[in-house]
Amino acid sequence: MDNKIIVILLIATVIISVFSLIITLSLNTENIQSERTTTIIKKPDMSSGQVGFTIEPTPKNQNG
Amino acid sequence: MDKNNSLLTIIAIIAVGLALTNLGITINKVGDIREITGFATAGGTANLSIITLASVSFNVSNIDWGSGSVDETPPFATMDSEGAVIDGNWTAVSQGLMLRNDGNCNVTFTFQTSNVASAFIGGTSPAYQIKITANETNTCASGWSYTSSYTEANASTQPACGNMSFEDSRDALDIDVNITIPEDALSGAKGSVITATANCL
Repeated sequence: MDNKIIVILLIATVIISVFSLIITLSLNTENIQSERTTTIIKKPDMSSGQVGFTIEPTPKNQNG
Repeated sequence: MDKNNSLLTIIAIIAVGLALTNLGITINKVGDIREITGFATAGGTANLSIITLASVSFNVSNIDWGSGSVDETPPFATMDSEGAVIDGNWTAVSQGLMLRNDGNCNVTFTFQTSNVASAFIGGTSPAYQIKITANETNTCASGWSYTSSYTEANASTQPACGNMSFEDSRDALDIDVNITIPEDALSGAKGSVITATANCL
């Protein structure tokens, strides 16, 4: 009778091990891809300044 | 009894074999995924983007001498952004344009004027000249141009500094302007735009 219990337990152990093996194999790590990329983005920038003045009309530089 | 023991032994051996196999495969699989950041059943991706930002701005963005005219003699007036107004009555300007690198990288700095002297000022033999100097010590580590004296603007992209720092203690440049206004330059408002371009090194 004791041996039957042990046999049942061992059979349960085997079943659990088989399920565990199936689950482990289903991880299928070959499809797990490790991809690490480092991208350095360089952004240029522009800015503008103004230079100006006004020439008042004189006899020598009348417009037109 | 012997039959039961034999069966028990066989089942026990199978159980131990499967457990060992399972252990070995699990260890192997864990070794495969140890370099992954995070976990995914289909894919694991770690992307890192570093933006090196060139950001330049004019802290002083305008030079305006106001209204004036050329004196009777000589036949031209000269003025600059360092306070000089010679043979004319324009308002003196003692501060040139000031460009600051506000980004997070050292940059190459180029500039371009929107026009040349003839288009900007007009008349006979006008001059429109640029000089660029450090506002702070060691702003430009290398590749200086336009720094020792005024150089005629040519409306094309000109290199000014090959390595302009972004550090706060040395990230500013002065752009001074010197112009010669002939007496026969047409009256009216005159303007030019100086565009600074910065690219991260």
